[in-house]
Amino acid sequence: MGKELLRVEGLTTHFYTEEGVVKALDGVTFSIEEGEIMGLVGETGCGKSVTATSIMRLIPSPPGRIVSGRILFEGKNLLELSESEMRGVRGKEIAMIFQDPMSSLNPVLRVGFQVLEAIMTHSRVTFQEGMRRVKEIFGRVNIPDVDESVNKYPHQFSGGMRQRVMIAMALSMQPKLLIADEPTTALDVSIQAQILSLIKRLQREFSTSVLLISHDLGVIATMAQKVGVMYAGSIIEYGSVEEIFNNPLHPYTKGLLNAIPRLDSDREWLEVIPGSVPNLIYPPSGCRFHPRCPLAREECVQEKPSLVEVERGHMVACHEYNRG
Amino acid sequence: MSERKRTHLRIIWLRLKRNKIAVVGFFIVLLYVVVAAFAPYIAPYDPYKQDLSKSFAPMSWEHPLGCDEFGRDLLSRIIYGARVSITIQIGSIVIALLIGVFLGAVGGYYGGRLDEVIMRLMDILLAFPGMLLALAIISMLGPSLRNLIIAIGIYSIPQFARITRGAVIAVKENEYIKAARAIGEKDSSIIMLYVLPNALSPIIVQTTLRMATVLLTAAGLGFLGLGVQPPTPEWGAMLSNARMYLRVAPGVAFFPGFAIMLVVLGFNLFGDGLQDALNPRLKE
Repeated sequence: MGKELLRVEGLTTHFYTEEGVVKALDGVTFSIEEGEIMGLVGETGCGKSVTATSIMRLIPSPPGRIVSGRILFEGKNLLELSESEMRGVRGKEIAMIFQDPMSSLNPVLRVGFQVLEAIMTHSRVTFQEGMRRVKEIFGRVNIPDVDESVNKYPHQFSGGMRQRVMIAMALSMQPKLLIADEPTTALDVSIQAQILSLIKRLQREFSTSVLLISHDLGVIATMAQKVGVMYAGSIIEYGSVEEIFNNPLHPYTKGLLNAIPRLDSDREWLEVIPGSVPNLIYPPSGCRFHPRCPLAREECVQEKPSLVEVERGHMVACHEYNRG
Repeated sequence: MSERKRTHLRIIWLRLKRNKIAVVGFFIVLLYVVVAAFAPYIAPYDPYKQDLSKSFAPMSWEHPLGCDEFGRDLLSRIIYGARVSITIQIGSIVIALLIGVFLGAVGGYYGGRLDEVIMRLMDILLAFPGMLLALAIISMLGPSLRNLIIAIGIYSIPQFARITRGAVIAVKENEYIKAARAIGEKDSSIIMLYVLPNALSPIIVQTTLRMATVLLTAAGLGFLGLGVQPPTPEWGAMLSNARMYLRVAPGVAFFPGFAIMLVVLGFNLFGDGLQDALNPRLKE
């Protein structure tokens, strides 16, 4: 058990749109320890990315606003920092890689210069010293022909290479926490594996903590030590990878794991969870999963279950497990 | 500079080259710039030197376009006139670019109330029909080359502010802007390094097209006697003076007018071509 690095408590983020208030996050709670990879899974629109952007305080505002909660990073609440203090955290303490490497690099700047810009934002270094560090980190993320590559523009790189540049940029300041928001979703399967093993290797070398967001359970299983399962804006189950995959408790998690097609089964049809993701302007009352839940009862409609520890380190938010 | 920059410019040039009309525009503009830059070497005579014995001299080998009422060589005056107009164009466009792009970028980037205030101010400036605003500013400041540049500069600010704002709003949605914020960049660096360089092409096109409007406005104000004062050879003022002798010597009015038309046409053709070349998707 390491030291706790990040603790998110009751994070609630709303988007005020013309159609109504989208209650995107509803009391998200989890924590990450030093040197740990925590996975966040859930289907599209369940609030994984909103969680990440809320931690970075990059929610576009208006329309978005963090309504309540605390984000404790090394004990200090990020939500209480001024914008300029927060700028000192972004990139230096917490870095982020995005889903689509094709669009997350500035097309008019050379990649080396972009990484240099990230370094120079946070530390006073000379151009030569900065460039030396850029080349070193390019080498560490396995970008070939470093001396040439730093002078290239993003469009001269493939998606996988661009994601390496993004990783280089994110790690250039040796942040304590790396948020990877679906870092491989936009890449080819073969490249995905390379990027994931690169993240894992660098995470060990730099002893960085990682918040890995993905909708791919396989990715989470190979990468993470701890998993949070999100549904409609809340974490509904949370625990070690072994626990979640071997002993899922929440009906939603069970459904998700059931939906993975298996080579050794002779089922003709894929298992699905009936229904679809709820509209978050008018979320279901009580437990947001109750309309799709096979175990739904009266109290599920009435009251939102809170996360309770069922076994050591394994928490679940479900009334089924919530009786004393 | 870099290889990429060169190839990028080459691609734009190749696209431009396919558009024959734009190439014509480009060469007119080029000719105009060269003539303005090298006026003293090209002009056969001193544009101010009067010789009343030659007043309204017809076209001849000695004076290819003839002479005006004071016997000044018309060709030389038109050549020097290019210098005056290009000074006005560059001066006022620089003013309009600096202020307009700044206002547009700030408004577009931050949005909200600040944007609202800036854009309503621009709307107020735009509400004045055409030249009226420049005219009002000139009559406040008094006619001179410097004031003319200021007036036309102010009158061109809203166009640049609007174009920049639109482009900035489109660029700001890109993920690399979010990525830049995620590495802790300041807003000012994000605007300068990430937003504006990616919003450049409409601004370039607008600059070229605006060159034509500015020239026309300057000539119009010159014609009304509110622009550059005689004896400085300014095409609009020359045209205005020559009006009185239209029956005696139509050429004295025709050639300055033709020069204005040619250059305005050149900038417009070039600007349109540039628009297609920089933004090929827009064409379809």
